[in-house]
Order: sequence, then structure tokens, then C-alpha cells
Amino acid sequence: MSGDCRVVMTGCGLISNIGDNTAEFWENLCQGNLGYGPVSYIDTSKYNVHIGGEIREFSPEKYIPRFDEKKNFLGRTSQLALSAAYLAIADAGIPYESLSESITGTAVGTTDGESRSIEKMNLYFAGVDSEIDNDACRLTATQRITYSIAREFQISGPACSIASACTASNHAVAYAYEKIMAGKAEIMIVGGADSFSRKTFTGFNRLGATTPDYCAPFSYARNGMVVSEGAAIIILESLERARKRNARIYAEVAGYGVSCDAFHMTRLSEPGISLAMRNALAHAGIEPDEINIICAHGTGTQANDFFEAKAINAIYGNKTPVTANKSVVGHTMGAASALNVITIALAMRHNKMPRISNTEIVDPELNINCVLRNIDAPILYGQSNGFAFGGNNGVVILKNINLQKE
Amino acid sequence: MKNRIGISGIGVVSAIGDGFHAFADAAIKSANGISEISSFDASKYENKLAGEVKGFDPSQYLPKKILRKMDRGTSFICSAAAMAIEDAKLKIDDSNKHRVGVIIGTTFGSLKSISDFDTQSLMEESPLWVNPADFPKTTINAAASHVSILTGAMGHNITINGGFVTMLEAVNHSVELLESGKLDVALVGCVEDLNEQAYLHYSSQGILSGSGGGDEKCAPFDQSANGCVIAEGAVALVLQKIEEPQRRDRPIYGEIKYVHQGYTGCGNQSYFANPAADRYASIIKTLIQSANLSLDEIDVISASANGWKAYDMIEALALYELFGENSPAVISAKSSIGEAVSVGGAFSILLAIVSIMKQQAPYIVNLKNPIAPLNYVVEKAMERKMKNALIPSFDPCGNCMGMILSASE
Repeated sequence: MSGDCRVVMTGCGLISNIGDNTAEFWENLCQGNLGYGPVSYIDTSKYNVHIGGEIREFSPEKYIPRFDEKKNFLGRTSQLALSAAYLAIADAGIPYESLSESITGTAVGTTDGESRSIEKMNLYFAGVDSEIDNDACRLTATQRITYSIAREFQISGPACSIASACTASNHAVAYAYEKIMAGKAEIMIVGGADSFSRKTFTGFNRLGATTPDYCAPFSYARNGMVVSEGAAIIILESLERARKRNARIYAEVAGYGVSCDAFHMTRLSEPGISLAMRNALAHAGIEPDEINIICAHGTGTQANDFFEAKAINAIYGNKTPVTANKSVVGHTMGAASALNVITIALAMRHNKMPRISNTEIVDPELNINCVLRNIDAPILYGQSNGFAFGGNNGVVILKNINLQKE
Repeated sequence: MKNRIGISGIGVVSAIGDGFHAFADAAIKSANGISEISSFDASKYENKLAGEVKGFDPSQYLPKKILRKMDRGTSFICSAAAMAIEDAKLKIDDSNKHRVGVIIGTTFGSLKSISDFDTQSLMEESPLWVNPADFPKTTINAAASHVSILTGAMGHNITINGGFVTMLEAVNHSVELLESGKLDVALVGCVEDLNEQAYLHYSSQGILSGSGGGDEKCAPFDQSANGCVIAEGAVALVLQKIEEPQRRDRPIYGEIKYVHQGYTGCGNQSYFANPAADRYASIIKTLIQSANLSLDEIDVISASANGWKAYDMIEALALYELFGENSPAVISAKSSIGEAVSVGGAFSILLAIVSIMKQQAPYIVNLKNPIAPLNYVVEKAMERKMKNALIPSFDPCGNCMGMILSASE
């Protein structure tokens, strides 16, 4: 691939608790119609919090042609990812059968992999099930998420799951970007997926990180995150290829930055977060003040929002608008960063910055410019932030190439 | 011009020894790493053998204080990473820590920690009686994160899950990051730890040796093979542009000439659909051409076969199709160690390095009646001039990779 190759996003698909199409997602996000509510997957009576962002009545047969539970043999996370992949490929205007004719690859980020299958297996270890569930055991391998996509579309390129926890799908975008730049893939089906997991709900609840009511990122009154689920998939290809087939382009992947705090498994650290942002800006070749909007990791916890805001303030000051879709959707774990990428792409398309819901007064200590009302404005550059346990940081910068015709 | 990437440090934890020298000494003798499972009670299951790491003491390599925060697998990969850095005499400090990345592959990483945490929440009177200190161990990126915390590497940190091809994909991605200038040093590795949960993934599919009756054994390429034997371990490699270790007068274990990936396809929708041997052969052919080599310049093949006959047959037929019966010397790390999933490709890389270093190819354990004619090394080690090694790796799901490793000039 030549040195002047550019990577663009030409499709997106999502399965979220506020909609399974981008129009509905965008509308609900801007309106602040919350996607979380009482948890149905498990009995929460012994927990301190009872809300989660589940996708109610998800039926894979709605998205996956000829879906057959037994024949397809997919775990819930794979079902979510594959459904979103179908939507993204259709959105990109690529005929399914042509995927196997190009070098198409896939990379899907995840925090918990096939958590539902693992948790079904655990019922045996806990003595709830008297017999081991062999089908569940067969589904526990994380790479099955991407292989389910590879197999469905008979694609010949790289197929790896990326398990960098809650920043996994920004990492997947970075990984896919490198594949296209190195000429090892022509099309990449990229994103993230996770199922609502009992283990993760329990863990965050035990850490006191979950809110009992509303996720209010950067708010003075913020009191935690919401554990959610979902899938967000985008289609990446070279600009040359996209133009040749007259594809509708959402945005260019202008750059990315990946870093590790190398500090602590759960405590955040501003230098590591800043490094990812600086790497992304350097890669995109732009100055901080050229970023029009930051779609923050913004989980709504005291610690995340404090350190993220500190890093944003240090690099971008307090003028750059910051939004956070987790206020409406909750934390979709492995899908979260890709959902941020899609949010930015939609913001560019609509010339509109979506607001942070539930946050009325921004924590004055944070000193960043939170978007509390939807703002009509053109967006040239937007940034997706993703951070994770283990100090894994990933930042992706999109450029609206439709705004500035070259 | 394309950058030349070399291996400047190695760390390993395996059933046949930890540390590269111990590994090399055992590997060249085709030492047996297969034994009865001791890390969980396997008496209720049909298959009782594994390539288990026994008697390993991570406190040789890691401070005891941080070991408390790690599960078994994480202690394996962190130990391997510490060894690799020491071996490469690599210093990670303020001057370079932003340019050192960690690329770790795993397929069942953290699975036991996830399962234990969740199981405890189900068994306690209240689910919130779980130990919060155990929660961070349940993210699949815990291993990679601990490697960064231990070494101070602040560059890329990514966790890749790719089944049997994971190590080659991790190396592939590391090479991309080094070549595109995103990193100066890649600490790349893979890890798996043996536990009941990971074991059940394979036993539930009936692919472990002895599942269909007969004696349990690990016998890649043999007609009597009746399944694979699961294994564990970790390998970490330090990858750099070769000028860097050369400048410091450090040895280079080998140069990564090329890594290629393809998909052998699946004929149907079933999980373990078999990829086709001729597509496998064509992927390996492209790999060798891309490395600017001809077929007869390959001296040794560090194979992927694991004793699961349907799987071995595809590789054997593909290699036969390409090379015929006078093929390069075929060796197998899995015959000594078993199938270590993500780490399998890493052990194959190490065996290729050992062979080239010692100019001796170790024999394949338990190989008496091959499933297809190839130039296998059997009964005793083969002395041979070796410069270029082919390391094929493929996953039953269809992902197929190969790597060419050459002696560094």
C-alpha cells in the first residue's frame, strides 16, 4: 500500500439499548431517552443497584439471514456482533457476497467475550446445574466473536478478537487501520461487542462504581456508571477504494493513539491517558484546538471522570466541547469506544453535538467544556476516548472529509 | 527499504523448562513435557494428560508483593517478559518507555479468574461477598496490563485473541507497528494457563486424546494419534529493528522475514469445519514467495500438527503438496509440550530458533507411522545445515498463518 493511503469509514451498524439503527440511536441520544432500566438477566435483590443497560427482546433472526440457533451455534456476544456487522455492511452499500472477493478482515473488541456462555458453565461449578453444559463450554473462547463474522461472510483477511477491556474497540480500530495501511486488508469489519454480564455487574457493584439511578458523566452529582451491553461495528476501507465504488463516506480515520499507564490495574493515571491523546494528535498531524468535539470515555464514576477531565484540560484546555453517550446508553464495555466513534460520525453527518444527559451542573473541579444542550455546529475533527482496567488507553480521531472538500 | 525485524530476547515458561537455555536443552532432546494433570482434579474426566508447567516458581523472576495480584497465567507471562527483557539487556526508562509496546495474545486468558469470581458470587449468601481484589484479575487484558506495569512500557498495549494462530498474529501486528514507526521495541508474547474451564472447552468437543477410547498420548502426524493433549505456558519475545541490538553488539536469535495470513475457508457452518489443504498450501506458498525465498531454500518446518488427526492431515497434505516427500526437516514442538493454543505458535518459533542455533533438528516424539510422507525427524535428532525455518500455524476455524524465520547474518 502506498504511503499516501488514507483510511475511511463507510458504514456503521449498531445494536444498542436505544436503537438498532443509527437514526433511532441518534434521536434517542439527542433527546436523552435513557436505554437502561431494571435488570432482567439476573435477580438483583441482593445487590445495591438494580439498573443495567440491557437490550430487551434482542432477536438475532431479525438481522442474521437464515439464523438458526443450533446451526449457527453462536454465543450472545457473537450474535450481537454479527447482527451489527450485517447492519454495517448494508449501510456501507457493500454486497455481502462481494466481501469474500476482496481481502476482508475483521477485528472486534470485547471486555468479557462470550460471558453468557462462561456464566452458564459457572452454574455447574456453583452447584446450581447438576451437569456440565457442553454447548456452553464450547462457546467460551473469545476469538469465536470474530470467527463468527469471518465464517458468515467467508472472508479471507485477518480475524482476531481484541480483548483490551473497555477500550478494546478503539484498539480494534487502530489494529484495523494498520492492516489497511500495510496492505493486508482491503475492507475491515471493526468494532466491539459485549453481553450484559453477571460477573461484570457484580464486580462493579462490589467496587461501589455503579449508580443506583442515573449516569451523569462529569456532573457535580455523579455517582457511578451503568453496566450495559451492545455491539457497534464500522466498516473501514481505503479512501481510494471508497471513492472508486462511490461509497458514502462518514469520516476519515485521521489518527489514533494507544498507550498504557503502566501504573495500576484499577487506578487511573493522567500521564498514560494524556500520552494516548498526544499520540493521536501527532498521528493525525493536528493541534489540540483543531478538535471540535471529544466523545469522552465519561463513565460517570468519580475517578474516571476526574482523571479524564484532568488530561483533557491539560491538553485541550476548557474550550473544546466534551460529550458522553454513556449518560444515555450506559457502559457497553467492549463496544463503548466504537459507539463513541459512531457517535462522532453521526455528529459530523448531522452537524450537531449531542448533549450529555442527566448532568445539570458540571463538577467545577473538572474545568472542561461539557455539552449540556445539543449544539448545531459543523465538526471537522472529533475524538473518541476509551480507557480501561489495566491502564489500557485508546484514542481515535475522525476527520469529516465531507466538510472540507479537497 | 523495508525494515528488518529481529528477535533480541526470549523468555519462556513451559512444561519442559523455563528460561530459554533450559528450554533449548530440553527441546533439542525432545524431552517429554506431558504428564498427569495436577492443577485441578481431572479424575472425573476422560482425559488426564496435559503439558502442564510443574514446579515453576515465579518468585524467581517477580517480586512476591505483585504476585498476589496475579493469577497463574499472568505470572507466567510476566515471568517470561522479565526473562526476555533481561536476555535482550533492554533498559526501559524515561528515555524510551513511550516507544516500547506490549502485544500479548491469549485465548483463555483470565478464564479461570472470571469463572471463580462469578462462581463465588453465586455461592455466597450475598453476591457482594466476592473479594473485590479478585475483580481486576477477571479482565482478559490483565496479563498484558501487568506486563506493562512490571516493565514500565507505556507504548501500545493490546490483547489479541486468535485461537491457535494467536502468536503469529501477535508477531504480525508487532511487525506492523515497528515498521510503521509506532514503536521501537515490541514485547510480544502469548500465554495460556491450564485449568478446568479451558480444559472443558476442548473436552466438550471430544478432540482430546483418548476421548474416543485408546491410550492417551501426544502423537502429531502419527497414524495412531487419537487427539491432542492440552498444554500451558508462556513465551515473550523482544522484537526490534535489527540495527538496534547490532549497534549494542547484542546477538539476534533470528530475523522475521515475513508473516502471512490467509483463510482456508470453511465448507459449512459447523464449528470445526475443516479448512482445505490446498488453500493451506497456497497460503504457505505465497508466504515463501513474499519472503523472497524459493521452496528449496526452506530448511526446516516447525509444524503446527497436534495429534488431532483431522487437523494434522490438513497440514501434512498441504506440506506434501508443496514440498513432496523430500521436504525440509519437519519438527514438532507440540509432540513434546502438547497443544498450548495461543502459545503453540510461540513454542514452534522457539523450536525453530533452537534448531537453527544448534544446527540440529529435534525428533518428533511418538511418530512411528506417518499419516503422509514427509521428511519428518524421527527417533533421533538430525544434524543439518539450517538457515530458513517455516513456521505454519492454523486454527480449526479457518484462520491460517505462516512465518519465515531466518538465521541472522
